[in-house]
Amino acid sequence: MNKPSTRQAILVYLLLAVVLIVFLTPIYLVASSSVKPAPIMFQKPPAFFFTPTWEHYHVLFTERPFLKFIGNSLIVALGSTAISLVFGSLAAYAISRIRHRRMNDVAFWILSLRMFPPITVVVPYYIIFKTAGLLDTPLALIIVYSTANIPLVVWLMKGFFDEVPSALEEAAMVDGYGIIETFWRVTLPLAAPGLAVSAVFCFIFSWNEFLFALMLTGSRAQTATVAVMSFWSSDAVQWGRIMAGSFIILIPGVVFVLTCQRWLVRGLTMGSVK
Amino acid sequence: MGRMRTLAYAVALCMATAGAAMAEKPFEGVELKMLGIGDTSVTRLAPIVGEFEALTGAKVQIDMFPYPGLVDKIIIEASSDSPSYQLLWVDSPWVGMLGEAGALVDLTDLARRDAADIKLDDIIPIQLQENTWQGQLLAFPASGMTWLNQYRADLFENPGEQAAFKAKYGYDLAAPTTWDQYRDIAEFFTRKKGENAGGKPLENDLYGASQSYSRVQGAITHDYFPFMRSFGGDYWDPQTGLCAMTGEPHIKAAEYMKSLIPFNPPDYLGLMWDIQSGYMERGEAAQAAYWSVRSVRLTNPAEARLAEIGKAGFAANPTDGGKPEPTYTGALSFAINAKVSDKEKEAAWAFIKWSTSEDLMRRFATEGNGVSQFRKAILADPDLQQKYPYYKVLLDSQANAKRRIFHPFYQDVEETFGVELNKFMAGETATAAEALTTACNAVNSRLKMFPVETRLRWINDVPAKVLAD
Amino acid sequence: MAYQATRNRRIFVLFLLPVVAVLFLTTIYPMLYAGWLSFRNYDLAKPFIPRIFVGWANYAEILSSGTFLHALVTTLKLMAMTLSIQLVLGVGIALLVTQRLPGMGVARTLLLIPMMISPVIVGLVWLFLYFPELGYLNYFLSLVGLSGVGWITTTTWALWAIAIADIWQWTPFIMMGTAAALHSLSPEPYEAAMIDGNSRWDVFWRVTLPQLKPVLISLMFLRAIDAFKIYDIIFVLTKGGPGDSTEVLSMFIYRESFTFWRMGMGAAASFVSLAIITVLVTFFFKSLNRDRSALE
Repeated sequence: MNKPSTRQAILVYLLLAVVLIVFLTPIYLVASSSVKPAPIMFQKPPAFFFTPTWEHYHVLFTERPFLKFIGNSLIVALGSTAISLVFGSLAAYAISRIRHRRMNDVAFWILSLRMFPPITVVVPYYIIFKTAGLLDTPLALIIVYSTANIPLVVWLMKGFFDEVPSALEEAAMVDGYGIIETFWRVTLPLAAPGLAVSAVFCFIFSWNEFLFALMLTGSRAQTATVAVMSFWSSDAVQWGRIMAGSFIILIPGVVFVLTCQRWLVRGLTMGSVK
Repeated sequence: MGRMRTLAYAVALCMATAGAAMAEKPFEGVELKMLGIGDTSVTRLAPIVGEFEALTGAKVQIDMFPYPGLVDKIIIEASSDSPSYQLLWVDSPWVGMLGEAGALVDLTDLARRDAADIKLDDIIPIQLQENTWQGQLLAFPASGMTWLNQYRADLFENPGEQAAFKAKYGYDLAAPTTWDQYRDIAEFFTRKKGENAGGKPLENDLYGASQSYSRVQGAITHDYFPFMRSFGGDYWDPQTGLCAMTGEPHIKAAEYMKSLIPFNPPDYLGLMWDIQSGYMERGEAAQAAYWSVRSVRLTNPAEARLAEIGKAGFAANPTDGGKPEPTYTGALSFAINAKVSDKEKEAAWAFIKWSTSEDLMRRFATEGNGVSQFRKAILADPDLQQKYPYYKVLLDSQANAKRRIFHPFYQDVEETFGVELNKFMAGETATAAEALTTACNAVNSRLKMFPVETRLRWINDVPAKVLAD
Repeated sequence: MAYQATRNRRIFVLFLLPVVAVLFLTTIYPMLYAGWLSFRNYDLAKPFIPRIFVGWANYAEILSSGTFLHALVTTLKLMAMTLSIQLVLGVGIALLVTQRLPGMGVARTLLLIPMMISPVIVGLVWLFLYFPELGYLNYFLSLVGLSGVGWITTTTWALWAIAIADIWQWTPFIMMGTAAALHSLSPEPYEAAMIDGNSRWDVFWRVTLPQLKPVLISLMFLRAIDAFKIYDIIFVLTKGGPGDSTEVLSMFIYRESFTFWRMGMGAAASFVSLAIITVLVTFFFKSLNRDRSALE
């Protein structure tokens, strides 16, 4: 694509500014509510200017082992993302390259695993993990989340692999590359943006999941999302605490996405080379 | 043999709690986990469980989970043969459901054995009854509450307001004793921003009442059921054991609740507990019939603006036509998982005794975490009454209190009535009778599968055996 | 060459097999368990209710239940609302952030933040916006002279309120997927199109969009599947209310499985909803394949 003209650039920035304002206002609310004193949390009109309080953050880290919960979330999210990427992209590549009618059925079966309502399988998973002694361990959540994430990766990556021209692969094979080498050196780098997108989605899903995290963990493996929600109790929704927690657990996600952005950019340069 | 061992634990525990330093810690090596919540009954306890370990040797870990989904987690935990949690946090309406499932240890014998130790006589009887199922004490109160009336005492005591009220309604302005008065007062105080209230112009709109009508967490039923009870209604038909909430008092209560809508904040259909009481806390509602779990905030300037701009008053809730209908009570309690070993059971009981002891309750109250209480000695303490003005109301009104719903199908009732009442309040269902009939039929369609004797047993509130002489 | 192809296919199958095996192992027990439940009267909270075999009774009850039908219709309505808007917005924003201008990487990262918040917390954040009296949204509207509406407290707006929160959260999903695809597009067709003197719009419509189609379809697929299961946001914002205006299938399944503890009914409802989404997706699949073969 060509570089846009100045006039076009201004238009792009204007539109983008509107989009950013709309999409970031709720985020601003999270941030501002996280330092808002409890008595003025809700009022009419909403309080925009006030003396910020760090009390919510303080409580988060002193009354609960919040760092540990973030650690748990990281283990679960990174573990599940890694597993899902490896298994998912291998399967996606195979499905994309095997030209056979049956492949549609396989792909569909994999996808259907993501269609089943999760609520119904909470109890059987609870039974499995209880029996295996995995209740309240990160591994239990890694297994469940990978099962949900692999279909996502398969579907996304299949789309990207389909777009990699077979001529490039054939050329590589003519050069004497084996099939695994071709996949590793030629196809995968070309599909890097897809890999980055998949990683982001897997990470986000695992990071945010609530139902299984609530039912399958106790304090040992509790994730940050459940810990944040636990400020919704029987006598109060402690909005300030919840917003402070939400704001903090945004940070690892943003860092992860920033890391993945590099792949996206790499994908961009690869694309222009080809 | 088992009894001997139990006795030995009991003796050892008594020695330990008596502070006998030479006594060996009776529960060395025992680990207890509580499936808990993040509310005050637990958060005030969690930081000091180390003190219990120092006393008894038992290590306690309290896991805090969100209220939404908590009961589901407890049911799944209870359905498992080997417990992950020895201690369970229980909201009193769950007691029948967990009791009929056999999920909780009967504490009657333990409580009777240690009656002197736990000062059983000092606990408000209805708070114990609230935790019983078929006469068995299945949980122990850790925080007691009533549904009480909270109001703007500064406005109620203002001479100008009093005169204007008397001129308009023909009787004196005071904490209402009937629901009609409550509505009159609600109407009287519903004012727009800028109008005067208590001689000063209002910074914000003032609403006459603040009640919950939201489906989220069944909030609407937590307001409707007390209304219904105070109008003289009951949940169940004493002859058939089926849902009977279609009678005159039930309809009257639903219609009454709807008639309060004009005086409620306009977001009434979305009002959950804390948003509802938030209006009271900001001084933007003249009165609210609400559970006492948040009353503590109203007098605390760090949590409620009302403490600065006005004054909170507390009274027992009105009744229908001034009939001496009982107040409505509730308990947030600790229970023991039925699947624990004997040793864990004794340790868990020791923890419950310690965590609900008068000493600890007094300490919490002194530290500012008093919230709701269930011991007469504390509620009657003059200093604490000074600090927590609603303690007196809690103490007095519970003498004549009725317990909350305790049926094994409680969750069905809460959900079904939540939906149908919310539809009625939203105007989707034309009449209260229609809404209530639909809800009752849905509940009854499940109950009818059981023989009438079973249904009657479920609605029978057997007096707590722990209180029998 | 034929030998080569067969050998390759074997290797591809080796790629695929471990994945299939793993997924089979992790899902077989839960699926069998759910299937077994769906033919049973099984109440987890009330073990005193006989857990008997009831044949197809659960399925019959669901299919004849007005509540289930209502939940299905609400779910489909919500899907239509969210997916269409997410697609248009997502692609539009992706086109913006893939311009070769400074600051686009930052913008893209910022725009992904909504997705990084757990849906339950998204529900709570939007409560701040939606409260008619206390919320920000009506306050902002009043600033520009509009009168507010009861977002989550009126039956007319509640479903839109849910949809808007979902659109806010998941438009970035489409945006990011599309942006990644735009980056990996091959440039030649553009150059050809530009040389032919087409307008930008023509180029987008005739060159970009057809190339994006496979990725967009994948993304919409995934969104459709997740939207069909939407749950957390509703649980927090309205719990199906006011009245039953935001009752979706997941709420129905949750209520049957957990609140009423009729696990058999919940499992049967899950299979029925799986069947429905399968039919929808297969339909989609077919039309997709037809398009493919038309292209080739």
